[in-house]
Amino acid sequence: MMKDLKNFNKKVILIVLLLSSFLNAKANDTSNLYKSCCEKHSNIFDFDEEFCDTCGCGSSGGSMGYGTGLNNNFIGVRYIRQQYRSRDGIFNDSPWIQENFNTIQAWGNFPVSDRILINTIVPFQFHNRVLPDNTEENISGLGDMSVLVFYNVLKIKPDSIVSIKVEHYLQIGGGIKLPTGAYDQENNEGSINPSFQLGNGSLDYILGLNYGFSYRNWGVSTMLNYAIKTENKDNYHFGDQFNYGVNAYKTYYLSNTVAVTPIVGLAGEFYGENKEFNSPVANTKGDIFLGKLSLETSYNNYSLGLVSMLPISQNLNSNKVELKNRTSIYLNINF
Amino acid sequence: MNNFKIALMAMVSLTFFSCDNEDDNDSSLSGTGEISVTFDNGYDGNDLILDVANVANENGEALTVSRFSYIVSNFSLIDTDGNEYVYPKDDSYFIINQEEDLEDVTLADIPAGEYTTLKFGIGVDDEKYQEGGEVQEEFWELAEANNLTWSWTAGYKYINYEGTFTSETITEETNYKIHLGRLGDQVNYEEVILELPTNVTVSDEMDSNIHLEIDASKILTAVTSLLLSEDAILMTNAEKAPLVAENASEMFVVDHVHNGSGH
Amino acid sequence: MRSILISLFFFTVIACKDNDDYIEVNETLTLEIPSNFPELAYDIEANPPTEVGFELGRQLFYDGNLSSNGYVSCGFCHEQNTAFTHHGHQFSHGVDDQEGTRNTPSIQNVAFKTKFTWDGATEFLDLFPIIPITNEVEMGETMTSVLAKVKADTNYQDLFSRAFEDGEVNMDNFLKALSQFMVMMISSNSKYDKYVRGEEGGDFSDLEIEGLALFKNKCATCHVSDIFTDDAFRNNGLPPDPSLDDLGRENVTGLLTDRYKFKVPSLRNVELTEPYMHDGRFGSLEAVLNFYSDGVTESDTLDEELINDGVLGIALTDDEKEAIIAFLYTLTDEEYIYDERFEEF
Repeated sequence: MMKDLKNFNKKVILIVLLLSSFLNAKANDTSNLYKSCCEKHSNIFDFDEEFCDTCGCGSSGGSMGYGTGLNNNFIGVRYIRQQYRSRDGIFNDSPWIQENFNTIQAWGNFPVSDRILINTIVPFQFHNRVLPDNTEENISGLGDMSVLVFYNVLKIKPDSIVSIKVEHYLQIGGGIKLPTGAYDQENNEGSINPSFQLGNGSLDYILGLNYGFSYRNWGVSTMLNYAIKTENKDNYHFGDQFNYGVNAYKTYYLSNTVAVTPIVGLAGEFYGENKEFNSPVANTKGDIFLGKLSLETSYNNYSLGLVSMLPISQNLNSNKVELKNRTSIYLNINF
Repeated sequence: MNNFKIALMAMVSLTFFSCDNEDDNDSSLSGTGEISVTFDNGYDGNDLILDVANVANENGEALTVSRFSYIVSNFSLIDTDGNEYVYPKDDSYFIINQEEDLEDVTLADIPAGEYTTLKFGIGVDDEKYQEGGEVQEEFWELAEANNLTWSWTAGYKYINYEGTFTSETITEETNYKIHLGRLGDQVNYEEVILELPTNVTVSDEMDSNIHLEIDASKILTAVTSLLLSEDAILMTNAEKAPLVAENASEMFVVDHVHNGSGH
Repeated sequence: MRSILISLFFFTVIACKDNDDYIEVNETLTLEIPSNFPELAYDIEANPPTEVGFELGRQLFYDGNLSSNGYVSCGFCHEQNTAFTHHGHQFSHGVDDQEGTRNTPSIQNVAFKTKFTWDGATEFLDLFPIIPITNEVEMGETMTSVLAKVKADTNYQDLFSRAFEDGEVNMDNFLKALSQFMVMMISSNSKYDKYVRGEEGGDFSDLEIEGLALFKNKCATCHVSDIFTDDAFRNNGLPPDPSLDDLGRENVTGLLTDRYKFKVPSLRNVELTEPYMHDGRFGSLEAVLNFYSDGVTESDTLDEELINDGVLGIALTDDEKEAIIAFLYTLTDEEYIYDERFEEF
């Protein structure tokens, strides 16, 4: 089947190239600085290297992702807002504490060699929660930085060869999350949700796997990652976390410089039980299954993304913690 | 750009080999610590809110609770080796009172260790009562102030559970009063044994908390169904008092244990 | 007391060398009659309260063995901290979990009373204990059986021998001991008493003064004197409770004209003695006053004080009720409630 596809693709790409040469008559020159966003992968439609590659790159880590869902190198700024609520008490009808977790991150995917890519996130957190008596608590500060290294298992085709066929990528890697964010035990007092913190205070090890494929202007990306968490200095040990996500996307080229890529996806997270002084802490494990909708708009090598995630089903902390929604906006420079 | 790459790689590898945060678990706990036991009163899974109508129980009776007070006593803890530490008896009598928000029992100077089981009793045991009124005057007066006494000759009320109720047959709010105490030689004192889902650990460095959930609705339903429409006043009913005591012994559940930092 | 005993001992040793016995003096207790109180009704000469007799009476009062199940003592229903009523209980439960049909009345200033129980079943304090002891829904015992239990107890044998000249454990002395205890229960140091006697702590607020005036005008015909009762039997217009069917004084006299009449209770310490009325039907003083203003019902034996020009009850505005209740609270006597002499232990 692949052989037929390749033949088919060859013909189509010839036609497209002819067409595009007409369309590119007014090509924008400024794109010389900007390399094809996916230099590790061949572009399906490589219009003057001005369009961000949309071969799928899985987000790895958190199911919001270490990346955008599109496989590219970038540096940028991302803001994520998460709204949760937690029971203030042990009863089914104990009142809710409304929690808002906000983070602004400097993030990026940097190639360091042919096959190796480094992903790093430096977050700045500002969270607040409103208690049932309407008093508000705020915490802000540097969060936990993470650095991951990925190795591309499949050989990357050089850019100059344009091939209209299904392109796969597979990245395996790992990294660490550093306890650069403050973990203050006081924030856990009396609250069911132990995560109202700037950081979890521990050095964690992360394993990740991204796999995806793209065909022409659409693709599918998947990611898996597993975080092995360690005990922090306050003898609190968050449970290991497993995340997965799968996205499907399609890019629409509105002009030479502008493209929009809607992305739709599903994601899930599994949280192991926390421990304190090596004894299990009740009501701290859970899992959640989410749906994701995202829209990335690119202009030359800039990308602006909007992401929204809503829970489809969840069972966090014995249902004493609930995610209401997650939204994110990011602005990246792709290279 | 190359330098940057090298620097990045170096940083990554450095952090990989950085010191492990994982502490060796300190197996030598020493000294003593404090264990607080929180008696969080609820009704059928919900918080117990006084003077608010609750959903009908399995007997078809909807209770509005206006008073829920009780005496808990004779606390002891069993450690991982099976040894039982009995809290000093004379200090081991406490009042829990929903009206007054009295819900915490503080057990001080517990020998350092890891404990698997909590034991206590509901009410005042015979041995203590037989010591006479003068000896325990202070606690008697505390109990009196919390509506947990009859005359001395009749003894303490172990549980004072009052309010109103309606049922299918009784549509107007009708008073109920359940006072559990000894009736002459019928002591009606029950013991409660709770296995902890997580062991509780105390030491010089660690105070811990055991958070209990109490389901007041169990007083009428746990083992024997007691219908208020049959007897709404249960005070000196020698037939039903032991049944109330038995039901009440089932109303305690450990919700969670919080090791360290006191609460 | 002890010093008296010791000096007496030495005196007798010195004075009567032959006599080896030491004579205890059972001191007579002084019964102080407050200046604002009427005369004593009890025959104190016939049974003067003494130290040992009082103590004996106190022990008997709180002894559960006077009941058939071993724990219903007098103190079981007559609790000191609610002026010797059964706090919050409409009816009291006696032995075998049985319930009575009348609200436990208070024990206070009984030395000034001439009638006892809601229907005046006896006019002699000495005879009163027989009623609850032998009532099958209260203490469910017989006097013979109770006396036998008391006689078998060496502690009681000792107290009886020291309290009474004949030293016998018999019905007479038993009842007298209880009377000696109850006679000493005088409540006369409320804020009202201090106000009336001009003592410190008797400063009435304006509302309380107003309440006192209203009370004198509207309530004091029946709740008269500083004992706050005339001990008369009256029908105050309570609609009879069909489930109880309590005929009141008629049960004692057999007279139809006494139907539904009950003894006017003293209002001292009324703040503590809820619920109110002979059947404890009102849980608050507000409910009581609302009854008097709007709830009095017609009856053949309705007291004439409660019909004025064809209007039933006592006209009271909300403000007047508030003032009267404020005044009634001044009748609470903390000294009486916490008086150690009457405590169980």
